[in-house]
Amino acid sequence: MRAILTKALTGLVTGLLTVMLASMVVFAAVEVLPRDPARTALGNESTEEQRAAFREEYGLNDPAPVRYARWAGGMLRGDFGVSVISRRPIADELWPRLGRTALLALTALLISVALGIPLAARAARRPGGAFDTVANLLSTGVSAVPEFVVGIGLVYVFASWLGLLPVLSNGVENGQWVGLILPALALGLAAVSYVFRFARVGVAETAGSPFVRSARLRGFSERRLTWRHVLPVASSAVVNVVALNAIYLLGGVIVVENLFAYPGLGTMLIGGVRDNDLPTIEAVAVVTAALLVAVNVAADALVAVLNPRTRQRAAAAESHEPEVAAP
Amino acid sequence: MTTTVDIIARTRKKAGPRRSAAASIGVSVGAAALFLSVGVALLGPLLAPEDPVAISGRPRLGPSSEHLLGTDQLGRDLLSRVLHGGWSVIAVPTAATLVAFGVGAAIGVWTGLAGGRRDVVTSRAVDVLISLPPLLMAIVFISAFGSSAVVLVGVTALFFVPRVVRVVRGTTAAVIASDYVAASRARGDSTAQILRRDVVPNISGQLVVEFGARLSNVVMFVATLNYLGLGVHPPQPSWGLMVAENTLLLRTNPLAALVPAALIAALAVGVSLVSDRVAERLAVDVAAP
Repeated sequence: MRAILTKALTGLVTGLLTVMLASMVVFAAVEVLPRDPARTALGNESTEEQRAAFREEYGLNDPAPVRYARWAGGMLRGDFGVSVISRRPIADELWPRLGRTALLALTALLISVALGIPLAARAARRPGGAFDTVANLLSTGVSAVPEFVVGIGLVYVFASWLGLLPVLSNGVENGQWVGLILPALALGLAAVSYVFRFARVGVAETAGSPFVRSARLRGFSERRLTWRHVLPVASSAVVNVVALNAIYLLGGVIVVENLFAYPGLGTMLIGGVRDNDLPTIEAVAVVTAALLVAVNVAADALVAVLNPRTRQRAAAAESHEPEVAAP
Repeated sequence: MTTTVDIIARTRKKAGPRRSAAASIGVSVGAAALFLSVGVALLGPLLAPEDPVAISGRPRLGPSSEHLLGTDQLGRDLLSRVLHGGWSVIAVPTAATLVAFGVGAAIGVWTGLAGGRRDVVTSRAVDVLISLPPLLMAIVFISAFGSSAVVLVGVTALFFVPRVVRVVRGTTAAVIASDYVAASRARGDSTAQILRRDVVPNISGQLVVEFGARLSNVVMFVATLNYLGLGVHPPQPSWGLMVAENTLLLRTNPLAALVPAALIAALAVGVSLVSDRVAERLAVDVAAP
């Protein structure tokens, strides 16, 4: 228990440091270029006096560390600044979009687990068998294909060719749940290979362990072995997938949202890039980084709770001799 | 370099026949896909019938003998754009991987060799840098600096350097901890000699594998940036951007978006399958991304 707490605490501190670093990198990247926010806000026809007054009012003459502290402090209080384009508080738009992005990501995750775990269980039944081989090749292939390629294929098949589903999704608030299907499917399919690989290794390892062998000797059916003995132990693999691949899944979310015009954080970010709306870009980037870190910390903690052996096993694995090529 | 690799390859026990049959199917498919996409990208500009940025017909034409893939929203010949659009999808990732690899491997060997405080500090820094999401940070950087090939290569390399450092450091440290390095030390070899005779030959296999795995990540990363409109500038053709430009033509002329998408898929899958096979031959575990 003590070990788990230490691990969780370390994770939390590292996570906070990461969010801080991300916010500094974002701030610095925008800061480096010689840009005049006063001119951007007031337009080219403004006089030098007007711009000077604007800079004075918004404290733009302060040194960079002061402005960083003010910006970061504002975000901690939920104040993300004002969009240069819409002139409205960024927070008003950000929170609903955050919810929609979370909904999309969770649905996609469910799809990838629902497909990946049974495939892994089937493949691990006979490692090296035909099913395992084909599934492995496919997962290597699919995991290398960018999400937008998977997505455009799905759009073509389901929207253009079969005409079953709408291409663009305008959010899900008004009960337009069909709009969620294609984006979630695109993202979920791109993530299946991650789930499959982790779960397959977990299942194969567990299936070879003494307690499963003894259960088999007691005459339990293969089905019961898989569902009652192997999969519960291998389930931490799924949490691990989330922990290790959250960074890549996040990239997928950004891409898929833009492909389907899904009104989440990803479209807000790219919209900000198109409009050159730096405050929006900064705010979305920091919030997304924070979200990612939170997911990571939570997943790490969950792995430790689900499987108390994690720590010891990790320690044991490190002390193992590196595998020597046998003659 | 090849000698160690060959010895490892020879001493490794052959895998079962079924596994190797599947692996050879994988590598054949991968090599074919790689040949196709790289071939189109490199030879395409020589074969293109029209100027890829010039308007050469009515907009949104379907495939015909005049325009084999039809024309896009502005009336530009799509075949010519496909043939010209592969160069950036291949050159930028290759350059970025080479840069990331050069810098990352140097830092990795440097810290792995030294151990001690330098190693701890670098490893901690790498841990934190790796947890920054690359695509998100790249979008911020490119929106601040503007997009050009140099920015694209630089930003991409920047976010992959810590990943290379981590793997190379680990491999180097394992070699340094071995008995034969202790023997070299006892013999009075200098650090440079140890580096040349012990470290480099023993990590080179892992380096090759790591390069392949990275290249496959970077191809995907750069194609995604291209798709989001953060790569090449609009009049210029690029497979990633073409998928975005022609999504709205899917119903009338699906080839306009599907051909560039398929070429990107062929490139990415090809790199991945071939580098997997190389890893298998060299008997090195592929590092997690």
